[in-house]
Amino acid sequence: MIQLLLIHLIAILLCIAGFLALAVAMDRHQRDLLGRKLAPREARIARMAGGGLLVLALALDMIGLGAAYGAIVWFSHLSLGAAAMLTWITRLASVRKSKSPKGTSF
Amino acid sequence: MKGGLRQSMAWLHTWTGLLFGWLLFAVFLTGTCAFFQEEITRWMQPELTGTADPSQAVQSAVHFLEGKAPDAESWFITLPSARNMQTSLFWRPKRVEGEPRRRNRGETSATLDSAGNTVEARETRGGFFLYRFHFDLHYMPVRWARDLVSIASMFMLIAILTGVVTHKKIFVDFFMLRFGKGQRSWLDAHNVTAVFALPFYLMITYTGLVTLATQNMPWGIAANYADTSKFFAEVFPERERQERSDERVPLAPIGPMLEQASRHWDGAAIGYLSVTLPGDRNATVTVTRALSSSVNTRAPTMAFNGATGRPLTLPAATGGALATQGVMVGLHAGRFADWGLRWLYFLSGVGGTIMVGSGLVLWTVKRRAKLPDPARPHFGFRLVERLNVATIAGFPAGIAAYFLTNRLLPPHMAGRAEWEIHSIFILWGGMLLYAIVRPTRRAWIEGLMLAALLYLAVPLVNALTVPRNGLVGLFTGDWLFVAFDLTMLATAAGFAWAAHRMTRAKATQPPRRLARQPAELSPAE
Repeated sequence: MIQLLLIHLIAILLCIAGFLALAVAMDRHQRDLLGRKLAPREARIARMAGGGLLVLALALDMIGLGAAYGAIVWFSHLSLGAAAMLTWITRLASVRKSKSPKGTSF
Repeated sequence: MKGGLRQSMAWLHTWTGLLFGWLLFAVFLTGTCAFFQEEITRWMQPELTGTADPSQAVQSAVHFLEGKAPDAESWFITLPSARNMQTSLFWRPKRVEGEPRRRNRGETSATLDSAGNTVEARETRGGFFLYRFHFDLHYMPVRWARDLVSIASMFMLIAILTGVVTHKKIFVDFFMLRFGKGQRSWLDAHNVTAVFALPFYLMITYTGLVTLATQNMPWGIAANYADTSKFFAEVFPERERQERSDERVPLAPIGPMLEQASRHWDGAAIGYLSVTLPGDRNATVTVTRALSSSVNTRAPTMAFNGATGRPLTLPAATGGALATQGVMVGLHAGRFADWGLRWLYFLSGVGGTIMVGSGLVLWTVKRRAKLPDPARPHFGFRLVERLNVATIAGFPAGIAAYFLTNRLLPPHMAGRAEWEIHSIFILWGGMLLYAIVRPTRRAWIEGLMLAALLYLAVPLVNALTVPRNGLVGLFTGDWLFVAFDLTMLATAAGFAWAAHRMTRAKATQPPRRLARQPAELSPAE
């Protein structure tokens, strides 16, 4: 039971991290999330890391829960990971907006 | 077609989504509930408690049937599982020459607990009704209903695929999606719920069509078989019919057969067994593996000679197409899913319901500002607006009423199961009438508030009418009631939040501004 919960939890965290890395790889989100722009090489590494983390989540699900079952669960983990990550950066953006003086971009 | 690909796709997305949107909303919502149909049924029959021991349940069931229907044509026994504590029995009585086959299942079925006592509980169709409604609807012939739902699903599939083209920016701007950015919150709700579980929606819509494939696409069978029943006989082969020998031989112990079958399936649970000609020398016991043990719904079976207990060879139909169909139906119904995945399925279903609902609202939001005279919209607009209120607020409120009437109607009232069902449609129809007589904004707010109040009332009424509830359950480990109460409260909170947003949004923004929002993520129309 605990083991199952852990697999779900870790896979979801991997998905969140994966999406986060993918977002960081995109120009428009770098200032929001990092406060600076990434060099093209760094962005490429972030993109690969993002993809890698999602694949890692898939591997964990398939090994931990069985190949067929794990693959199905992975899609749900992707959904949850994306939802969690977007909720978080939405809040981040609105917090920054309210903190920064009116008129300046964050 | 005028405009580019994207425009024509947007047109298709808008109108296919609208035409069957209300039906799809109801189908999605009840289908989502159906992932928990066993749990809903258990909640709706709170008298039934206890634990299930499958091996004891089989013995009790056989003992019961030997007393009740010793010379039946066949017995069917559905074993209890982790999700269902009861054993369901059904038997086909011995055929008498010249007498028509009896159709009344009530006389030839029973529900037992593990100890073999018949269980007495309030009459209800429970979660099973919600499951059946999502493809059989109600108050109409099943065949028509399935045709309607099939057409609606086809439209859903079109709406999903064209939606991907129409809203393609949601992929490019994936991380730009935001929850509730003011005026665009309906569009956000639509986009966000659509993107998150897109693979799920595609899967569930497509596999849903597969479940009704032989009805919707009969031509493949028609071209190859003069008689449809021949096709089914080939696909689902049965052992050669055994004739009654009229020599009474007691049934061999069933326990060892189940053990052998389970061992053969690597320890998987047994779901279902049937006994033909019980008590006869030619009796056969057929054991079917539980659906929870594999994605494929074509669960394997094993047959045994009922007199000797020896295994028999069974002609099996296998093949790529059948396995594919079985897996697709399995993916759709999610019977293989354990708790974690079942909740994930449920959440995805909730997302789909919100996607359909917000899409319907979007149709009116987009058009309101373009109306020639916003104070007096044309008939089509008013119709859509009202059907939206009636369905998006009224239908979920009806399901809350279904749960409430289950607790409030007298336990022994005649036709109570039917009245529980009527309550759904009374609420739905009532909400439509209400939406017609009230100004739409007020109807929205009040309808959503009513839904919130009804869902809030479910745990309260439950606590007042039956001894089991979520609070007590926390201490006694009655997690079904804990989860049910929490889900009801969460749903109530969701509707209250929607009503609150509606109040605020309408108060601060004149509707005119909606049209002039930069159409960053909206489809070009």
